[in-house]
Amino acid sequence: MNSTEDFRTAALRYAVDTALCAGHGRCYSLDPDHFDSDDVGYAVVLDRAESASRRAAMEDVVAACPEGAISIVEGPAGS
Amino acid sequence: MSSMAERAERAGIPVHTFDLENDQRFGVDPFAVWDEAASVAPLFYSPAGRGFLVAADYDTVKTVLQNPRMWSNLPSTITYTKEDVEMDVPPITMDPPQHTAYRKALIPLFSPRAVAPLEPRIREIAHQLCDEIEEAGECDVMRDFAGRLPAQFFLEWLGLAEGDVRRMYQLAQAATFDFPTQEQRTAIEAEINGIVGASITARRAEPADDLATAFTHLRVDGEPVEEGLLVGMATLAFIAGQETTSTQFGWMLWHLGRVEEDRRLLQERPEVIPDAIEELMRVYNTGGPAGRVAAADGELNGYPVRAGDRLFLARCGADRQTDRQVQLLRTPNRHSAFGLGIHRCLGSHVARIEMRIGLEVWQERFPDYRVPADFVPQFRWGSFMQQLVSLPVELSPATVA
Repeated sequence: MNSTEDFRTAALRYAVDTALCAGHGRCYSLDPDHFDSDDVGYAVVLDRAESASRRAAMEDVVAACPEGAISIVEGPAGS
Repeated sequence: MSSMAERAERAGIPVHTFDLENDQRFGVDPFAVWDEAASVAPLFYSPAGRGFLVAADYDTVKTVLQNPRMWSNLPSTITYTKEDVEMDVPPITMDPPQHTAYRKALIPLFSPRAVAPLEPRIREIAHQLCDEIEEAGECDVMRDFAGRLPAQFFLEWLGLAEGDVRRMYQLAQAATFDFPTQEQRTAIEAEINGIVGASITARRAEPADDLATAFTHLRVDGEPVEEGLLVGMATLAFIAGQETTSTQFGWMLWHLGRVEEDRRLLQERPEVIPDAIEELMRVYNTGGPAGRVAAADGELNGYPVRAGDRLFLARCGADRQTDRQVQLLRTPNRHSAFGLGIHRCLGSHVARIEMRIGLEVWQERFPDYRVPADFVPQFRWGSFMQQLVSLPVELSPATVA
């Protein structure tokens, strides 16, 4: 269990449920720093963590996925 | 076995007559009908046609479309008409696992990377059409631009540039609007099959760099595709490639021609055109083919589903529930205008390019266009879509130095 302090410094990453991704392409259009397209248009998450202060902007990308296929996962800072 | 109506009543699912075939308001103000449906309940029963459930909010629409094993496209009946009319436009009219294999074969042809190189040609056609409009000095957007750009581009891509373009657009319209009988629907599909089948045959003899040639190379699980299915898929491309994009694009030019503030925003900040396109698709969702039949017994929003139950997806109303007002820079934004789940519009990436370039070229050529204040819109609707019948605009073309 994370302490409050760990939570504040946690690193955030996107995750895509590949069973739900239908290749709309909204994520890599809106946020090409964190997503790319595979050869045929499905989402690929780039390995790039963000600080907790970026959560609100990341949640906008999550909410823009028509399939609800994107989530934010938390890891320890520096991961 | 109890009827759909009886089970809806027992489960407390509201009854509301949603009647695509007979509600004449679709010709006057279609969005009012969709908004009304969305306000009834997330799921309701409509006694119109042969009786069907209506999924009317985003989550219910998503639940259905993400569960193709429960909510099937077989039989491929139009679920919301009095007559049982079936269509044959693979791979929409397929379920997994067959659909999965065909989709996998088709998707590379329409991927973002595959369609990006088409951009210059689309731009060229858009400018040619604007040249003609400028020369004529007057314009009906549906007749002269929104209704022609996607058709001209897509028919060329299908190897049909030399054909009777007007007739081919009529056929695409006949397959999406009004309510043809089974006999009429079969005849429409047969005529299109003949046209696209001839193009595929011609490309086998003489390959080119186009979609028709790509179809000739198509393999599913390593095997060539049976000719009837191959032609059927090309027929779907023929219909969807011409009709859906022009319809959607027409709504966009209708909005921008009436709302000067939004028109100016896109002129000042053309980089936000892609965002604006998503928002305009959300608010002016064309409707889209949207029926399913339950493949098994189950449950949906408390309603006890029985195999064979018909359902209609009121995506247009569902998308507008977020907000009926257009806000071009809306963040976050999501919509179901390209569908959801495994049947997500295969051509969505090319459609987005066509609409973006269409808007870029249009506002470059006619930055001050507007829809006359006294214009009374009329709408064509039918089995799959709703469209502006006409859109006369005042061009006030920019003076070219």
